[in-house]
Amino acid sequence: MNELPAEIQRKLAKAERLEWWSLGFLISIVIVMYLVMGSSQAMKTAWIEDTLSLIPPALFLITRKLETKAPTRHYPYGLHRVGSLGFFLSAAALSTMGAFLIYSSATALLLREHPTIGNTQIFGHDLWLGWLMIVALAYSVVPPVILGRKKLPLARQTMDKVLHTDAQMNAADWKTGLAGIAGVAGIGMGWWWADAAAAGFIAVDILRDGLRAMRISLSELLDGAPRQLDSPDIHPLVDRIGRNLEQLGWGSSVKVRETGRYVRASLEPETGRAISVDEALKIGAEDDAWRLIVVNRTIKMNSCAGSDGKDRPE
Amino acid sequence: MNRTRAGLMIAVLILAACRFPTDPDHTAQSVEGGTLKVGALTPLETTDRTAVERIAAAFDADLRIIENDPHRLFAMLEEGSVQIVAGNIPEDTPFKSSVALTDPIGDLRLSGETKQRVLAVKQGENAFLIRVNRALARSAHE
Repeated sequence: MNELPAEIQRKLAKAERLEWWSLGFLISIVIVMYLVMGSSQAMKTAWIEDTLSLIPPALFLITRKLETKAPTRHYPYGLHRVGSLGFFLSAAALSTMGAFLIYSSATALLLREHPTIGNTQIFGHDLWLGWLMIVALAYSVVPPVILGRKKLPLARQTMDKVLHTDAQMNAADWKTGLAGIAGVAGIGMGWWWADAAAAGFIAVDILRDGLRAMRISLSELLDGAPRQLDSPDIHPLVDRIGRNLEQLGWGSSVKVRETGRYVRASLEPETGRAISVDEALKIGAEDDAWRLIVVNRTIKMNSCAGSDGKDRPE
Repeated sequence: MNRTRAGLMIAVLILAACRFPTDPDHTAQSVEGGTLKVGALTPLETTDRTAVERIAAAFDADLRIIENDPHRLFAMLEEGSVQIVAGNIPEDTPFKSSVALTDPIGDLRLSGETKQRVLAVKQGENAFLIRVNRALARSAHE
């Protein structure tokens, strides 16, 4: 489906470039953090979060490749929802990882594990490894926060859920970095508990990201009404379309659902079954006539019914 | 006003940085000028003995070697009644997850393989570990 307005296409192309940059920076961050990762729980947790944050940019780029594919006999609606499916799976992974990391930092606290960070040789100097960790954590904050802020408006304009969650996670990345730095600095101060406490804080953040992403993708996969990007509230577009279509006086209710960034509206009775089994039999269904409950037909309007060009009733 | 406050904060940070990192259980402080108690898993061979002597010298401390069985020694390390456990410890010792290991002090032949020989210290005593490693590095240069 490539009937997107030129403006939106341009924004999506820009978002694609930003996501490639994100992938590049994140890979460099993951490598740098891995090189200095000692036995600090907070550092390990921050590293896992950075590794997991590779998933949304990759998903966005894959989705962009797939959603533009023409419909086929096997996928007559195209693959608009492939992003939502990937999003749901990665949200589940994120939540599981968050829960596991909360568990592991809680046990570290309960077992009173004292994190050991020794020294290392760098350019002939003997240095506490904690300093390098702090530098790496500080570096890990800067690129995502800048990229996240750039991605956020694009996500709103293109109604892209994966991009939006990615941007939000990036923009909030300074919290992870700061918590990690606090954990390592705490070890330096001789507060062994600071590290596991900071790790717990980061883990809660991962779990919250995961659960939020899961809720957003679930509503779409379950044919829910289009939601706003940053809340579970129904998007105002639904009421706008509804009002205009109801004026046609066809006596059916207007049902609107979301497939990827697109919206599909349909005039159907409230109950779900729009045609009787007898009618279905006439259409050509046989023993399985009961399965056919709606036949849709795109209505054409001479004057634009929706308040913006994107509202394309079907 | 703001400038003095910023200056004060930087001063505090620098002061804190000088003492970075600190031991949660003050091992380095307690050994300094006192006694370094070393738990020996076996009668100490030359490499292990030289290493702990160097460390004691770096801390200006007397050296006391306590021989005992492994589990008792590692328990003593945990409660702080010895500061180092030594005696043919390879760097992949099964006790690895419950102690912190120093930088290698030499080689160790173990069941036909050559491994790095290390000393064990208590986990999380980072200032002590660093000073031990520095004492060992100095002796390696000499």
